[in-house]
Amino acid sequence: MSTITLFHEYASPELLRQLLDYFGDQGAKTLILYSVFKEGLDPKVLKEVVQTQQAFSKGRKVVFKNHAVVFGACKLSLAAKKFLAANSFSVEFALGSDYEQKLQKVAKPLRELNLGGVSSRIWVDVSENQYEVYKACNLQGLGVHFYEPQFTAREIARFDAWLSDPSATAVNTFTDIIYSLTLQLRSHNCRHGSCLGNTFYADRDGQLYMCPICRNESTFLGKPEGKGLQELFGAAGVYNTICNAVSKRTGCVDTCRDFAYCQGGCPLQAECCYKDGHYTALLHHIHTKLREIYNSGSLDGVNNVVKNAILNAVAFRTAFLNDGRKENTHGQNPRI
Amino acid sequence: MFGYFRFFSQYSDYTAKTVYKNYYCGLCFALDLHYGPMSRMLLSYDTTILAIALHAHLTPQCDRIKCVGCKKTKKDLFSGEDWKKAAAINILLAAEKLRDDITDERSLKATVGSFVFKKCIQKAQKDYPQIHAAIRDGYTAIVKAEAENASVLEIADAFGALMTGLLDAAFVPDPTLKLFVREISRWLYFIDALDDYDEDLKKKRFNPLARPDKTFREFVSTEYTYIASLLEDLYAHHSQLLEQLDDGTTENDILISILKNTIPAVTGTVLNGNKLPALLHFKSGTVWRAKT
Repeated sequence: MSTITLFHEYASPELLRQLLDYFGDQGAKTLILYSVFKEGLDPKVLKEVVQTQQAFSKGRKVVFKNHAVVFGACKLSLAAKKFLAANSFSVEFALGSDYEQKLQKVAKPLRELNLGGVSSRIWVDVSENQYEVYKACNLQGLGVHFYEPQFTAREIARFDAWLSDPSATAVNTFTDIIYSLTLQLRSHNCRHGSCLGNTFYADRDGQLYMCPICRNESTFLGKPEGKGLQELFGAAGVYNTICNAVSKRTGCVDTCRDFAYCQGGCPLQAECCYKDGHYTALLHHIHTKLREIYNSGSLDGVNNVVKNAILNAVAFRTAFLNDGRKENTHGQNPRI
Repeated sequence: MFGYFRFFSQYSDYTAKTVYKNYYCGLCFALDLHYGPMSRMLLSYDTTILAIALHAHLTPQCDRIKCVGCKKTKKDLFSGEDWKKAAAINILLAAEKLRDDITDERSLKATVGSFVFKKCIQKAQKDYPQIHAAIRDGYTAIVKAEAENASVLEIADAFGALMTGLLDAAFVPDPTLKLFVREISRWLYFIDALDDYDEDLKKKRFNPLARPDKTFREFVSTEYTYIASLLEDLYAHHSQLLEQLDDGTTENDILISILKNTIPAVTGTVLNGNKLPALLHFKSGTVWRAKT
């Protein structure tokens, strides 16, 4: 399945149609990760989004996964909550670096949404813009600071406290890893992946990039109008970028025991995590804890997020139920 | 026991959702046409799955059929024998559920229901005595197994046998589809027992999963490995079915989605004590699209 990331504020219907025509011609089923960034959640905007998507979905093998991002807290009307649930929206409350202060305000709407069947979580970040921080640190020869050993130790301590807090809500760093371990969903934090060629980003001018986060000259594809997407993908720079990503991933498949879980994440940021191994320290810690909980015979005393993830692993009968480790999937390379 | 085959829209594309809804609406029209408007109130999601498994629909002649009206179009599309049998199966299964509720709980609602729907039930029994007999015999076997405190898997097997017996009585089913119906029926018995755990304990009704000293939450929190072993048995034939059903038709895509997505997702939802999603039924009119 091919994946396209689109932001409602930048996605013109014409661009959407071109992308769907391109992947439709290849016979691929297309997953569109569609994000709406808005202060608060306006039912009128969301309704327009759903109507446009339904118009474009007819006769095509396309699935929309809608995501609304809210900055800080907001009031939710009953109509908005019902609409979100009926149209399978997920919601993310982006709290930025001062999340501890804002957490109290979003706790209530977050719980209400989750109870109403709308998957919701908090996005906590040590930086307002992950990519800018990464770029700045890279220029100075530093690893990205949120993957320093001290940060990892803090995250491990934070996870342990979060694990046994009965009122804990979803936190994306932990839930990403938990869902990867229990449901074998691909984790995105290893930064060593294979999504290039299948995940795209379109900016407000209709310029395409191969990656929604790393938008730079190596991932730039150009404008599809008048050229056709096939021509864009065949350009020399794009080809070289994809080859580099594949060669890094080949090393992972052979040597990294976590590959079965992450299946790669972002191929462009490999060095910042893989070589230092900080991400893997957190991954292993969470894995060990989850296995201890599962083998203990009781889910009492853990928060609902972890309980739900383990019970979903039971329902979907994933490999987590055995020793929790799949064999390295050499020969089953993820898509590119 | 019915109503667990909900559609999780995040797992399905627009075509599959539309075809599923069309079968659901088609079954409703077939009930109206053959057994009168009251029988539409007995419409079930589960018989919809049977109709899809049997690829029961005809190529439609027009784009839009409303809930009320369009009588000629509905007659053209749904007067066929397969649709009539599907409607009869819907009614006869519902009738057994009503009888079960009256016997087990002396339910006033079920008593009133059996009176309200008496006419359409009697007509379905008269039209298809062999289907009625298959359902009645199947339920007798289940009641016997429950009385003997059989295990949940044994009773699930009995329910699977009821549904395949019903198929044999009504149609000449393809072996793959017969296996599909058997396996989803086994799961259906299990998930119903799981979902009704607290209520059955409270009302002192038989439930093969229930532990007298544990609430549902306590049962799930402490016996999830036992539940995992039950699911291992219930899912044992799914891989084989997924391979055999993979022929590119939209109907079989829906059946594949039931096995891969709906069943584990509903199981996860019930285990976590959450509510199941609803089918969007109350839009004005219905949309019927030709098979492509």
